[in-house]
Amino acid sequence: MKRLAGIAMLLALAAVCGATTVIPLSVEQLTADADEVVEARAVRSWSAWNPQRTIIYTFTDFNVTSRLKGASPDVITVKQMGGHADGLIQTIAGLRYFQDGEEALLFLRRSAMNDGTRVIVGLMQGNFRVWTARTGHRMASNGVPHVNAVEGSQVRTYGGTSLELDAIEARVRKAVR
Amino acid sequence: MRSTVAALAASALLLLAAALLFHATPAQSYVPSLSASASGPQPSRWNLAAQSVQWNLNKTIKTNIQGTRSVEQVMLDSFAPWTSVPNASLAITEGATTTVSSEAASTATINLICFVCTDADFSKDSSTLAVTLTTAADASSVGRPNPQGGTIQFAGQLMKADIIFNPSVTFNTDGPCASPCQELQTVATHEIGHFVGLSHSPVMRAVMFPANGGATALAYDDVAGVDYLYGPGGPANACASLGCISGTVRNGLGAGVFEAHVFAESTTALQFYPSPIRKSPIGSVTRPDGTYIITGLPADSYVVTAEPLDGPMTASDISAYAPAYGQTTGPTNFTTRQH
Repeated sequence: MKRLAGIAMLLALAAVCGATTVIPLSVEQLTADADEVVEARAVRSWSAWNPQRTIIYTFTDFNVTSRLKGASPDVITVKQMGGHADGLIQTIAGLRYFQDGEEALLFLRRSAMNDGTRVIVGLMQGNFRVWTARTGHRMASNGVPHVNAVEGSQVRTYGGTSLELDAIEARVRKAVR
Repeated sequence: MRSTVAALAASALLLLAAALLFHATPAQSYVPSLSASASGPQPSRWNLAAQSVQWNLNKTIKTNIQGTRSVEQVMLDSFAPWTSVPNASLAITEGATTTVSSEAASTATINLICFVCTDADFSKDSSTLAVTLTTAADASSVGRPNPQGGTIQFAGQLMKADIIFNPSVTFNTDGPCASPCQELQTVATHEIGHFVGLSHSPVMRAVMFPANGGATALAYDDVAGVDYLYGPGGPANACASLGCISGTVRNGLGAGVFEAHVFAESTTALQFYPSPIRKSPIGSVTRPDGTYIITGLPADSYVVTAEPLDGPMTASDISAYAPAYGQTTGPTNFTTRQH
């Protein structure tokens, strides 16, 4: 039964319930909510205060290698709340930050602050780490091998760890059409 | 998927050494929020001996808040289970209300609870119900003034916590409601767990389990987390008043297994805590050398289980845990074992 749920998840839902309290989003929903969907490699991260010195943000520069939706420039900056600056650590439980060299498939919106940065759709749900499996297949996972989904008052557990990158790309392209 | 992983790792031998201890070397039981420091990971917690902690509500709401109960009453009812945990002293009270309506304007002197803050970029995503942004000191800040009173006395000391409810989400203050509406008190109770310094728990019955299970009453696992942070001995002497079980999870080669979920489950019907606290397993996560300690255990008989963090909760749900130890995510290719 658990496997059936896992298969269903792979077909219908690539989602995550990581930090805080979230409702899972499908690849199609992530695509619809995103201004840009890109494959990219992290090249540099740093943390800094906002001008009011009330929020620490972590910024990561990415070299864009492929564009599935939108017309991103070659280099984009992704902004996430939280980070480490001046002896203080700000945290949102469950948020995953990027490491230099990491490859990712990113579902992005332009920041509402109009500062030229991008933010990840669904807080962390639009952040898919990309790697090459032992089989040689390119895989992508939004960081959570299994999914806890809040659907109304029901909590469902989905199996399934990751998706082949080709499969996600196809679903994104179909959703964009 | 778990079956597949288990089959691949069938040859792996998991050795679990568990011993019932009542004065064991303390470490983290449950899963507190951790911050890396030169002296090792430090749990995030308020310094209640030196600081009066209050939350500051902006009472402004919009039409996304439904129901007859006020958001203030919901927050009072949501803090109450945490501040009344047995064996712990967690005095967090309602402070002055505030008109601060953005996270950017939330200064270090307040702990904002906001229903209209739109400058958290997640607010355009209705899939994120709420976030808690905590600010903790690292070791370099010890000795500096704390904007909320006194000086910073230890690494990991919480200095500020804000809870931002997504203004794009419909919440009901009276109780459960039909999707996409969310019951406010269940979300608030979970977020307050982060406010007091807890991360997510792998125990599904816990309020701090990452998925919203509709619970507004704490489970034994939540209580153990608070007792660890705010019990009579604090984290440094976490086994002072309740029981502890410690041991090591090893693989077939004898190496310690990092980031395994280890939990103790009662084998009796004993109800140690009064209703509405719900009986549940009490869990911990192993350190890089495979050692673990489960604290906050009432006197009882337990079965101890070690399992990989391969779902329903995974390492990403406690994404700060491995970096706090300077580690990457632990393995999940081992089988569940009970002792």
